[in-house]
Amino acid sequence: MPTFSVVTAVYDPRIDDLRACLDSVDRQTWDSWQHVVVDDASTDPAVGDLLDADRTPGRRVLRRGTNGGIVAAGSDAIDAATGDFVVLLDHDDVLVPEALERLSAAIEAADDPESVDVLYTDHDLLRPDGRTASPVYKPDWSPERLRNHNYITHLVAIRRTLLDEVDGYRTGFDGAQDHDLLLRVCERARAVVHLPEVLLHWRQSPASVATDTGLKPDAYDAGRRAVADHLARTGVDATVEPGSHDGIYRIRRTVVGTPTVSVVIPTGGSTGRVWGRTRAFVHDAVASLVAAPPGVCHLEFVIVLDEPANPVVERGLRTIAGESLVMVHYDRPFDFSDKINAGVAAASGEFVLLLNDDTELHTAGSIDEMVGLAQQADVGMVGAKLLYADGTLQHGGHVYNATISHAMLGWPGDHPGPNRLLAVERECSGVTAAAALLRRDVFDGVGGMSLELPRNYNDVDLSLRIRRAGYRVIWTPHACWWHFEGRSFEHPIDPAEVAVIERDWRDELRNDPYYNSNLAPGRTDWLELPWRSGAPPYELLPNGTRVWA
Amino acid sequence: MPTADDELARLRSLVGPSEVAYAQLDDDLRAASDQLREAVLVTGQLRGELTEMSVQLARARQDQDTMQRRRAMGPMAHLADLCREYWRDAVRPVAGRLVRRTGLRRG
Repeated sequence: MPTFSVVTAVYDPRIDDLRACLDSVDRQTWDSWQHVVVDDASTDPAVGDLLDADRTPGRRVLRRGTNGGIVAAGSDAIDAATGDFVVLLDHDDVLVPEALERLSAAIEAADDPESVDVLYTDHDLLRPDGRTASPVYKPDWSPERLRNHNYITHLVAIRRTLLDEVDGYRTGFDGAQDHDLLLRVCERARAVVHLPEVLLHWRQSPASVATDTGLKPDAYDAGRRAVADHLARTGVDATVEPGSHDGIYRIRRTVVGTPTVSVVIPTGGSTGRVWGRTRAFVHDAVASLVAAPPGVCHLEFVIVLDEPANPVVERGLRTIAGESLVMVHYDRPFDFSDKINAGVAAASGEFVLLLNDDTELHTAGSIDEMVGLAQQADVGMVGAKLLYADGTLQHGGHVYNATISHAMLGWPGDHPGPNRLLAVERECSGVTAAAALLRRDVFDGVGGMSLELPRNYNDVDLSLRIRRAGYRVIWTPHACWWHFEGRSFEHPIDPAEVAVIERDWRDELRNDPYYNSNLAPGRTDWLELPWRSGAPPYELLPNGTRVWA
Repeated sequence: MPTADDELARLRSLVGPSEVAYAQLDDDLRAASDQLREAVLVTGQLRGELTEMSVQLARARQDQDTMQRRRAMGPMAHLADLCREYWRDAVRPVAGRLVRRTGLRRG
């Protein structure tokens, strides 16, 4: 049975908040704990009085002579920890009574308990009036997302031997010390386990990063440096900038070499009206890529055109794409998977971009963004953000949650999503083949698209086979296309295809590791199960002002 | 097959006698398309916000429903409800993990 050392650095908290924090440790239903409290030279004498009066067995209080900041105080606390796992707890946060017991159970329930090096749980916010609000239901271990922002935060437990190995907190990262620490320990962790239960209440106050991330610019600069250091350690050539929203980082990867990307577009040469004008879809899909500022990658266009083909379509493509065009004439009955396979077989690039013909490039540089991600050896497929013609979100990654659909379908295209999930690169169970980039060797290695799925779910099956082969599937908001698929378009679903996908992936379609069991099944919009949404984070008065209850 | 120049001449004859008229018509068409696109995007923004609000409404309704149901419950029914929740949240996920780990479901 594991033992836990809860470590808390204390500096001038509200006394009632500190008392609540200490009490929450005392009330743990799990006995094997140690609580190391380091007072970082608090100026409020009441803090010293409270800690002096504390006689709780298992609690060790250390005092620093001078204020050294969160990293110095936290490091002192970690040095004094003796448990198997170190649990990080802020001086005003509150553990639920079963927190340590549930962590222990999660370790024991793991496939190999000895390999569990990091555990994290869901958390919610604790309002000043004592109500809990805005629970954050996190995905399972998502390393790409951790680079983009500290989605783990608290509650987290780290095996002490691993903490010793990485030498604990680093100086110079105050404010982002936990993110920096998590990046370093997770680089070496054998297993990172997520426990989908709210086991910590994160106290909310107007001065806290938890409520208003814009208040601590120094912390975000430290976080940016932490991510940059992590990328350098892991061999990713990239720069890191502040992201589109507070608390997230924009990673710009350097594409290695000048790879060729084969853009594989199956098409019947159809036309349609978009924004009041008739367009030949495949012409505009290719033209938007040709017209974009050139990136690092060379583009080859492999067009799989249904026979009999309208000669105007091919002539137009030759005019638009010139020497970059490879035509594949497809004369068999419609089979999307077979067409994709035929296109990839004719492709010469080391990367293939599977692209629907009813698309138009939205963001220049999208292909380089995707290649930068796909050049990581363990990334098998990269998906893009797709927008309907009206700017609403069509694809934000797949969700397999007793349904197969797209995350946050129909939300505003620029919405950051719950816990910023639409603003960050992150692992997904799958991505749509309407715009997906793969290394050619990955596509070939998993056997390409399944011919058992000629119309539907072929991208779901491909994604799951890629993941089963040990690769990650990543969705990025920094690669974006318009997708002129009709919002009301109903794909004809062949029951035989449903039977195939259910036969092969029954469990995976009901246990999406990047969703959360606290969220309602059958939905993909992060709606919580009944009674798990908590209070709102603040009261909003009719005149629009926020009141911190 | 008519040449492109022939087609251009045919189209120009349809829209007016002068080069200026054709160019103006083309400009008007582009401007109309741009305006339509802007209008479609504004509509989409509103539609997206409606989608977001519909999720918030679903959240409020299901919580209201749970609250009303609990208020109407007697103590035993409340206890049974808590047991059901415990089964759903604590027991079934662990059992499911065990089943998956032992591979029983797949035989």
